[in-house]
Amino acid sequence: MSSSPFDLPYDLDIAWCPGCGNFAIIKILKQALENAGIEPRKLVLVSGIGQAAKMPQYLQCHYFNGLHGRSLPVATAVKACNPELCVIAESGDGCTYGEGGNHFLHTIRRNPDIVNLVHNNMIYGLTKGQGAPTTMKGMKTSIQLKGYALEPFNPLAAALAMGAGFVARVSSGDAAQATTVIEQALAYPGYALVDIFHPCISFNKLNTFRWYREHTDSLEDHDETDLESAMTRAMQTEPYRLGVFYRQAKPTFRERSHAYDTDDSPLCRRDIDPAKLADLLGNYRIPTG
Amino acid sequence: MKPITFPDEVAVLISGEAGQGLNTMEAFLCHIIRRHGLCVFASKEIMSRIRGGLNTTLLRISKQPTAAFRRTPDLLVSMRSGGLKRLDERLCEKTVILYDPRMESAAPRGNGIPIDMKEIARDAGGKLYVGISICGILCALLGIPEEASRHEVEAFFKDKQPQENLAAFTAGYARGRKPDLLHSLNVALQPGPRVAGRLMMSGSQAVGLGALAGGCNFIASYPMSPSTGVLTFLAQQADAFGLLVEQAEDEIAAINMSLGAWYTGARAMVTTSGGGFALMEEGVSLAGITETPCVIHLAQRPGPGTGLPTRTEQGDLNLALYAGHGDFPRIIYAPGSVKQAFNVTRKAFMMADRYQIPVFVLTDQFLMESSWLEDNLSYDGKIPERYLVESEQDYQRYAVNDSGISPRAVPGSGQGWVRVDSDEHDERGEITEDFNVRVLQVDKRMRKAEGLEENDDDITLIGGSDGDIMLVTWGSNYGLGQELATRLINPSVSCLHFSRVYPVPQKGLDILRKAKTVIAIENNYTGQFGALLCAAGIHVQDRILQYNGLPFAVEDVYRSLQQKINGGAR
Repeated sequence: MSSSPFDLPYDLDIAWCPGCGNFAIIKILKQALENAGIEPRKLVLVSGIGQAAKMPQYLQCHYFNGLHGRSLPVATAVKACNPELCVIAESGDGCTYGEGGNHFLHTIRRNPDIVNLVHNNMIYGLTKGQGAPTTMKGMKTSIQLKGYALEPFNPLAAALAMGAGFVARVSSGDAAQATTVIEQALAYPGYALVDIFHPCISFNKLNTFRWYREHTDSLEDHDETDLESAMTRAMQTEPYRLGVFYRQAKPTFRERSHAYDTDDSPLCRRDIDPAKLADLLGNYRIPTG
Repeated sequence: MKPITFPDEVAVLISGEAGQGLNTMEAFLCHIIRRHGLCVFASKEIMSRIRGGLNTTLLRISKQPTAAFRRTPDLLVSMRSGGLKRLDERLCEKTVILYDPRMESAAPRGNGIPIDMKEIARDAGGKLYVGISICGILCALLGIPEEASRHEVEAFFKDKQPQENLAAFTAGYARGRKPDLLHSLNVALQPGPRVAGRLMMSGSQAVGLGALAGGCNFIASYPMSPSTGVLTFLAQQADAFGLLVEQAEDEIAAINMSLGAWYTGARAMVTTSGGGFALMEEGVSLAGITETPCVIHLAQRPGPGTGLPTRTEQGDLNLALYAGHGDFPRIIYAPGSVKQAFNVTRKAFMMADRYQIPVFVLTDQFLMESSWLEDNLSYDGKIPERYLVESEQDYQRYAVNDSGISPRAVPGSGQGWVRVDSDEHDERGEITEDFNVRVLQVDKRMRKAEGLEENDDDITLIGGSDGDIMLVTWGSNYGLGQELATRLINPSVSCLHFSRVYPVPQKGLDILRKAKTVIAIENNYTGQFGALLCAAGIHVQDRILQYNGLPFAVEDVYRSLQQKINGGAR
């Protein structure tokens, strides 16, 4: 087995099902990080809850494994307070598009320089097989006994509509493409969404390895800077397209927040200037005479 | 009419509708009266709307400082039709009422003095300037010299229609000198040097300044009355102090952002009110298990639900106390003055950082939006200590030790790995389901509660500790307790104020154990702090509770206490 600077130096009891698509994704991620030249000690993985959210546990890196749906606000602040860090928010479809849906929309508007990896297996795995925001219509689950009836959430179209500057979809079944795209996401200065198709072998009997192979295809003849074409392709289902749909530079949260307009030092290391505060307090003093 | 004399204090209530400039009037009057050498305490009472309605601001103008609400003013200025009817229950036969007969269906009972509000500012520019004309009348009544007043008006309004404001003020001043006013009111308050050099600020400003002193460099919040003033204040200071101020999409994002910020070593705060804080609860619990410091400013207003959005209450102590699933330590401060608000907010950052726990600053609308006078904030100019370590190769974020405080490192500094987890975790910060490790980690976290430092200023005793009757107040009722204890001038009555309500300071409990009668005064229905004292073994014999949305009126509580004391409250 090839070694990576992101391998843990000890064995862990991995909580994923044998044969889970997550095993492919962790390999892809390590490779992409290595290719992008990310230093493990500068990497912070932020995750929510679910099987995908356990990813940080299995990598040599810093991590903040927070609450269900809340990886994006944490990741946004980590990057804002210490721009020297490489920050990835990684979780599943339910965590990112369901519980954290509002954060998903507004993080795109903020455009922090982070990568958002979303394991999209179109099902809730850890809670044992209920419908996810991306579950296909008609799929029967333990709760949706008559078939899942809601319209599936389209994360790519939503991200494009919200003005995301880097929107991509890959499949864990195509490691080469997935690695390249994540590497590009890491290089993109701003919020980069990579939706990752992958199977849940325990609870999704419809969207299997084979299903993804047969129902996806790479983007062809597509201009990554053409928003209209990106949107058209994001709406397409048979086949679902894979690759970078849209890439456009936009001001990041660093600029939008104005916290670095006159001071380059990471916010996390800034101290209060007591003299300035003493002056400010003086403004509240009732003048004599 | 014989002139009514005010030797020590005159309480002026101004009522008008939103949009009539009540805030500007309050700010200007506070400024000019304090410059003149008198103390002013101002508190407002507003409706939840942008225009219209009926709002009031109360100015207690006095020789000695006051810091409590009064229900019944000495002088009412009614600037809006129907004001007299609505405020009727706040008036007594002695109240002098300046009103416009054309706006009211009936003449006021008591001492009404008609003023033609429309006419008074007509030449100056019309109804927009009625407020400043009223200020002119009041300045004349207070004996503030005309020439000096005009200078203050020019300076205060130099960017806001200076000519019109000056003309309206002058017209009002002349009206205030007319015999009907001058001969019926004798405000004999002698100004002195007692006010110059003091600080005047709102509770919002004090909390914001305290946050700066505590090293706050990140604030993410969602606007909600009455907590928004702190966010506004810090936004104004962002450039000068290098802060990041972000309006989050919701309170859940806000508190999670603040935890992300602390994780990197930044010092973050959130500001919210009860309903918004309810959304933050899971974040408080996350702070608890990840041992991420967290500072929460919770400005209370009456609930449940949307409640009375612009009014005041102390009904969220239990919310702060029990927020978040699972067991973990926390501290709740409840400042009662701007000095305490500054000090405890600053201290909240220190305690949160030092113990790696959530720390609350629990305030309310009354504290936030009133204009207070303070001698000094005693700022020592020290840069806040950072309770951080450089990580070694074998660093363990949740190392088990005697104090329960595992040294905290941040990512990107040092050789170790900073792994924090909302799942139960081992010392390395990795998910565990080992029952023994679970117990070790819970015990470690809870050990921090045992060592939480107490400070002398967590409580304030007014009067002796050996009195028979001990009034207990917390939070914004500090000034109330102070005034009551002074006014009752009875050696057997003292007042104990808690600016830290949880954990209840031991010293406070010791004092209460010695008191014969404990009377808890709280602005809520159930007596939430009293219940906390009872749980600590204190016998709370009596309670004075109010939950109508207004602060306690000092005269009401005074009367009620006199009855209890004379009636032998035992």
